[in-house]
Amino acid sequence: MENILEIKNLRKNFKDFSLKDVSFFLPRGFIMGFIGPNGAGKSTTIKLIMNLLKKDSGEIKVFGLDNIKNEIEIKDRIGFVFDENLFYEELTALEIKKIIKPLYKRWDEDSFLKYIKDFNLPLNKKIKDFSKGMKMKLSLSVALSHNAEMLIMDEPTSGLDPIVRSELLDILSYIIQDENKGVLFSTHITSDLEKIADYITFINNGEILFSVEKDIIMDNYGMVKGDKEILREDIKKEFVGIKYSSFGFEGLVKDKKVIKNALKEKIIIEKPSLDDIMLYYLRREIHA
Amino acid sequence: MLSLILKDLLIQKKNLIFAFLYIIFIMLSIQSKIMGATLSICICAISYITLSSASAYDDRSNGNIFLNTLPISREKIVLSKYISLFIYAAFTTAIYFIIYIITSSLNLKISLYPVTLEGIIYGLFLVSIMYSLSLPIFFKFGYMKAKWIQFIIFFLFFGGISYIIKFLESRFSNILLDFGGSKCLIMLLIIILSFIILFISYCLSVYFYKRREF
Repeated sequence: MENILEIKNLRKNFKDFSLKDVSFFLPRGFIMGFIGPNGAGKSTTIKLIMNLLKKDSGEIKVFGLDNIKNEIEIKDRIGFVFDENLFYEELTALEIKKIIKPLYKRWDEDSFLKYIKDFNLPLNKKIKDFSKGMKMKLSLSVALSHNAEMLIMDEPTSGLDPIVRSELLDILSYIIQDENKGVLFSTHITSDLEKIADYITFINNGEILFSVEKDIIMDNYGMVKGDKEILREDIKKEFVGIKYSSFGFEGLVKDKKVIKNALKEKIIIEKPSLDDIMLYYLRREIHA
Repeated sequence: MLSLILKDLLIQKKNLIFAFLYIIFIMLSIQSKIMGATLSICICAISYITLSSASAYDDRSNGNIFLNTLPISREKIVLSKYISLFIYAAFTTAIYFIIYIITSSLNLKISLYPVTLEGIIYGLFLVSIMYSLSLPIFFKFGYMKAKWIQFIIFFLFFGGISYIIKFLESRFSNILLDFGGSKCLIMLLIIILSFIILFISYCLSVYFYKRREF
């Protein structure tokens, strides 16, 4: 299967932050959730893909092409949604369309007008009078109206109400029915991803902690609950993180079968949410 | 690339009325010996103010991120700003001409300098220097950070322009006389000089902008 996005050993140093050998790939036809806390390196990685920041070393390939050498062709085939409004506030949606349309080789006017209508967006109102949700919908309308093969979205759901968020997720699920497309979706609201993502890439402090299929995580990881007494040192090693309370402990394991075999019926194992996984990775030992 | 110039014009729709009034103000306030320079001053002032304002919008509203996510090269983004100079100059000349026609036909007791090729070329020369000095700084630092540097350039330029002209006259008048000193030749040299300055400045702007991070 061809990879729509491939990142190898990507490095970028800032004064107070570095991206350290970031590597992951996304095959065509899938949605990747790019998760991590604020300041983990999600936006930096995305800006490097878009050549808004200059990499120090490493390789970025989009559609199998180098992202710098083939920058224009790649951008023509990418739909980009940023967490902040990028449109000139003084302009109307219609004026923005006039500016953007001639730049894309495969602009689809009907598609744009359909999204504008479906999203209930006014064409002649200035962007500065749009709500945050409306700005995001306009951004999405533009991203979806030039037959983009890949959508790159940086925190598109932050600050949106649950209804708009749900609409966005429905659209993404619809888009990905076309197996030629791919979506990279960065967020710290992981519940959005549980519904739609096929792959999860977790970044923290500039390092990739894991990048795997969501089903593998959901099938193998487990939230384990039990009495503190059963936590021997060799058992503790199996945990990603443990949270203690006066009633006992609660912890995350990568492989629930191993812990089940070791502790049998002394424990309860539940399915973790992506939020649980993120939390336990970030704080290896939590004392409640 | 034309759509980027269109963008600069669209974000400044309101300023067009201001530009119109400003041209009238300059035309009426210059009623002295330097009247011959009125058109040139109008071209220079309006084009430069429009450029500054467009650059400020780019900086204020994530404009540079927006432009750099579109399938357009950084060279073209830079070039669009340099080409816009000629559009603004043409726009100013057109407004100037309309005002001149209207006031002349009304037989008002004010003297106005007509539109001449000389006036346009001198105007373009002045604004070429202004653009060439400012744009590389805007592309390197962004408008907001470069505001003060631009402010200094602006005043040094207008303070020093008479010295520059005197210097050029003293150095080149003999050479021009050798060529016959015709007005046409002087105009041609000014046009060539403007393009050389703009080209050097463009190369510098591209160099800076290609290395800029957002």
